[in-house]
Amino acid sequence: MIDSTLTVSPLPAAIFYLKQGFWLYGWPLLIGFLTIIGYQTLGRVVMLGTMKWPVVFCLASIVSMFSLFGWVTMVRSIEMIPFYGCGVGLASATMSRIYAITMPIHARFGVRTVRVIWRGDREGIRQLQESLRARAASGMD
Amino acid sequence: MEVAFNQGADPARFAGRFGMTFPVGSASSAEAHAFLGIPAGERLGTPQVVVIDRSGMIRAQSERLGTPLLQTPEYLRSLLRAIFALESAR
Repeated sequence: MIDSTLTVSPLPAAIFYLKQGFWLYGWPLLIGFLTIIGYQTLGRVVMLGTMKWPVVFCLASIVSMFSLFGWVTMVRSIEMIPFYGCGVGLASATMSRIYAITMPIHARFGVRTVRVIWRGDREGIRQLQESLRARAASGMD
Repeated sequence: MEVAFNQGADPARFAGRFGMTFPVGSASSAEAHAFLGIPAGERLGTPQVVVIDRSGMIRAQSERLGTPLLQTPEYLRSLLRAIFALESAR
């Protein structure tokens, strides 16, 4: 109960409710999303079979540590369950739409960049398949 | 001021441990319930915060199971500013 005749600045209360909303609902959603993105990316990297084992080891360690960090810092209550589920669902749906993730060398800056090729990107898929065929033909693999 | 109403409370040790510079006392659970206007035996969320102005009027009080908003220093400061503004306007 707070006396309604008092003219209290709304800013501290607004900041409090924003923070509370983030930790109660936003954080579980984010953790659910990033955990699935992390584990699915890890799974795909492992399945490639081309990564060196220290890279796989480090990636797996980081993903699992991040996931546990999320669980330790998460407010575990009944209310957060749908938000965590939404994060997991959103990440799974996002990952199911990804055809490939490539790391082409940037033409101008000469550094590797991450490029996501979505399943709907026919031109991107065609280019990727062509470059894979060219790579196979040149005997690089 | 702060009032501990748990069984076996040691206010002096508690105040010393956390370096509290305001009065810290103790009361029985029944006294705390009576002061807060909550029926005896009902579960209380702690901390219970009660903001009382100079005239002794309660301006804010936690809900029975606690009000996290009243535990934030920024909001309490803002609430006290509003009480001081009201008092100085009189």
